[in-house]
Amino acid sequence: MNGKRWLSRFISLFCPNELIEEIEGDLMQRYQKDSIKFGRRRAQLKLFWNTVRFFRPGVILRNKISIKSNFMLQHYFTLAIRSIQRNKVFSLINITGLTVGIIAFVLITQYVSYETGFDRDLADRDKIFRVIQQRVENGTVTNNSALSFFGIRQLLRENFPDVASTGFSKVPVDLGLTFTYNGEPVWHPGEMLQADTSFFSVFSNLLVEGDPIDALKNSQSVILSQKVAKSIFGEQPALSQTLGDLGDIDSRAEVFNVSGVFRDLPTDSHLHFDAIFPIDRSWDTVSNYWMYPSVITYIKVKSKDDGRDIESRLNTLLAQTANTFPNVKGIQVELQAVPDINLQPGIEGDLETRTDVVLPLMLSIVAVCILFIAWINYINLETARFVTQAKEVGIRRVVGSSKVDLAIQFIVRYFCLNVIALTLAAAGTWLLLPYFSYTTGIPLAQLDLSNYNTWLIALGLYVAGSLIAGIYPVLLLLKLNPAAIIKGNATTGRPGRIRTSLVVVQYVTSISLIAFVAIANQQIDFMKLTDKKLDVEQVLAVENSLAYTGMLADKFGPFENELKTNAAIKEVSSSSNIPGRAINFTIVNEIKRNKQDPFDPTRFKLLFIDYNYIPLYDLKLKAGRNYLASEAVNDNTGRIILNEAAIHALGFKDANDAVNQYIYFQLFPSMKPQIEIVGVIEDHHHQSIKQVVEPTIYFLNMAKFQQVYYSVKLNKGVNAQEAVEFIEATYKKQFPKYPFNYFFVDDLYQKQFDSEIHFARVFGLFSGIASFLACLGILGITLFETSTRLKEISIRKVLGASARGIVVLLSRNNIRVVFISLFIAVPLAYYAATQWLLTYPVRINLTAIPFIVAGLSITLLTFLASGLQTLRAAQSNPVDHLKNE
Amino acid sequence: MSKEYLGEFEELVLTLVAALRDDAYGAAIADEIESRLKREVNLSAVHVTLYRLEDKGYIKSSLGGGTNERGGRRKRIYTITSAGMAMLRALKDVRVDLWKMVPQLKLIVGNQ
Repeated sequence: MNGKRWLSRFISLFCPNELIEEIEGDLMQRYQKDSIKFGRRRAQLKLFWNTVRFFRPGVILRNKISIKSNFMLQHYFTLAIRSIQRNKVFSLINITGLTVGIIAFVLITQYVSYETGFDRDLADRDKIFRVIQQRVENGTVTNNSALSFFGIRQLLRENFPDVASTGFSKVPVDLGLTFTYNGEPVWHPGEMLQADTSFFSVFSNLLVEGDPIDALKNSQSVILSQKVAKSIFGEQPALSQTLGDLGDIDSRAEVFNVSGVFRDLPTDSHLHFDAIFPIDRSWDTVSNYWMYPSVITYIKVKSKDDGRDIESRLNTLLAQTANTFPNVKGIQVELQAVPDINLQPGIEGDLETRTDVVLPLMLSIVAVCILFIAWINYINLETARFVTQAKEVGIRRVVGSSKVDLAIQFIVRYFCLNVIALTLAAAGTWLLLPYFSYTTGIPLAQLDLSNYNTWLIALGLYVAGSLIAGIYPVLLLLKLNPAAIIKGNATTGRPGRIRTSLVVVQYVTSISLIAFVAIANQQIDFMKLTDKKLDVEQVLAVENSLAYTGMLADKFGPFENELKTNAAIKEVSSSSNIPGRAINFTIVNEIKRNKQDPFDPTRFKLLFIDYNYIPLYDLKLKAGRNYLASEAVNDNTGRIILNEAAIHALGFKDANDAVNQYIYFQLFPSMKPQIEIVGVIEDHHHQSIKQVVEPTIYFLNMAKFQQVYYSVKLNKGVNAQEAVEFIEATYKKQFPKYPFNYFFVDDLYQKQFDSEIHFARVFGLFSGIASFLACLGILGITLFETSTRLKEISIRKVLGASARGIVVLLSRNNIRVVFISLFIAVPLAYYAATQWLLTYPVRINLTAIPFIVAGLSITLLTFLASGLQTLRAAQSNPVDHLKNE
Repeated sequence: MSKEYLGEFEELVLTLVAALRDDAYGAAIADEIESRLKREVNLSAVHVTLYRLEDKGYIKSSLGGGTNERGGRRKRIYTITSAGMAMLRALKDVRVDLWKMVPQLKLIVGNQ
């Protein structure tokens, strides 16, 4: 019979009252008949089916919605608005909480969708894969690299006719694009690629002008980005224009023909470049295929599910190739889909650094936590108002309200609050997004109201909010027996416990976040303050935008000499790169102990310096000596200075072991193949200490080439402004046509910590929000508890309790909550922080301090939020609350 | 004849309401359809049709008595209104008229 009761309840849910009786009657009659005909079981099944079939428009729409419910709905809205107005403080707390929670959530969603939506503009981005080359030793992958053998592309061509593949690499220069146009030198910042002819069959929608197949066929072609084309040619068509070669880095052609223009790559692209040259033909020969990993290979497949199959077939082919070419031994490939590139950790040879992969994930977790905190607040406040509401519910039920009516009443109120909060949140997000953009350091798009996703999120937030926060208090209230409520027997014991555990959840989140932020800040300070073993203070760098022209080489001498006449200037140096910027010039297998030694895959960084660089940046020599000024004058390339990492990579024991030894290093054909190590400098952090110190060659540029940066060291205590003016004047005198771009090296160096600073700032912001919401919750509950317990407090006071005793009584629960939360939060934060710190090569030791800070600050906040209420309650005059009984 | 259109199932139910007279209620009509026309019919379909006919004014309803097998729930007894009767008659007349147009030959052939 239980089933039948369920059925009749089911019918009463949607069926108009006047029809229920006869429908139930008919159903039962039918059931009796069926049970004689078919037996009980089948009859029951039929009954169930027959009942469910009544859930049809012909019945449901017969509900007299038109008159009665419209009126009732209006009534519900009136009630909701009255209730919101009556309990101003509660409503305010509720709305603020929801608003702040939603704003935080939406901001984070915007941020995460930016991070996950990279390369949106790329056609078929799901079908494009990057080939990651792995070195496997004893069954484990020891190295992941974006650079791969050029031969892999050849294997793909021969064996996979359906797959488009391209190989390209970055032109290893440290500064921008240099050309001559109509005899005038032109310069534009940006990266250059050299690519094979099939580049545009993989990246098919990049090219806007020119022929995708022929654009890279001619070795004298160049393809420019729209930005560069516009800056050089203005409004004239770029196609078929001629550019002269300024750089001495590329000796292939004197004149370039613009064979195409590609569209500018947006910030949310994982690749950025401004010019593409054809790749050197000599690479495309069997003997060069398996020399060393030289290109980045991308493939485009017919369907995105083909990736796995191609990967395994390619690995089989590579294993076969290894029989002929020993270099390929232990080499495997993995295909990485383009949408994943920005979300997975960076690997060796990546064209762009991706350091904060953890951030989107962690922030998503925080976003969900904050939203839950806001909802928990709502639940807590609603259930805290339980006693008064219970009375209202009791009376309504006695008078004749159905449970559904009451449920609708509460849900309508929740709807009103939520709509207010959503509207405020939308406005708030609109206002705050630019600031958030600044905080994260990411150009976030403003909310797009024409995008249906925005509305979907809003709807999702509302529905989820209603389900999680709106339903629970309603269910709780409706479960009560009306008679008991009116008699005053309704207990708040059980919801009280649930309320406490919800508050604990809020506190755990807040404490973990605060502790985590404290740890992150410690790590950042630590990284900033760690001895980088070089001195970048008081150094000003001038960017020589036409460094590769060669024709300016003899200007440096006069420039240096004139600068040095000024007393403010201590030292001047020219180099291909400066501390704080990644060295792009990388060589592999071109430096080793002996020329005959087997292939060495170590990547050496190559930095060109003059003889002033080492003293200017205060680098310490471990052994040997600096270059001499006399060595710079003659074209003498027989000497080399290395750092310790390079010495170790070459297999020397220590600096003293290496100095005065001869090694093989031949950068140009004119150089002597055996070269003497004259000095070894201590490992120092050319880049921030986030990066491992790489083997680096400090090669003398003899003040002739690769003068990309002029570093000028000022004396302590001089007027920097005047010095800059003097340097500018001198620069203009020597290089009249060129722009004067300068910056301070210590600023540049500090900028490397930007991502960490953003990270800490973002987390600081959201931990603040989380704590604020948690305190809002505790404030609301205290407010309520003190107001419901006023009578109790008054009686206690009359019987002799002191104000202090009452404060303790009222705060006891809060203190317990803080302690329980601390117990849960500390291990959580500890674990998260350890994981985060693992991403850094040097890291702080975790101490108790961040956790103590978090615990204390949350305790303090709690007392600020609840203390005033408690005090007021404790100090109130008992008479006020006892006289009107 | 009014312009009101009556579906095949509606017509069937309306006819049964007229035929069953004092015993015309949902379950009974469904039973009749099943036993006389050998046609599976869902109870809810009959109910919905009855409500619709009532809306159109062809039948009216009043609550009747409850029985034991109904768990004491009362029946809703439907009676046909004069508008309903007129409709039914009009429908029948049209059918007869149309029937007369069918060549009798076929019937004879069919009978042989």
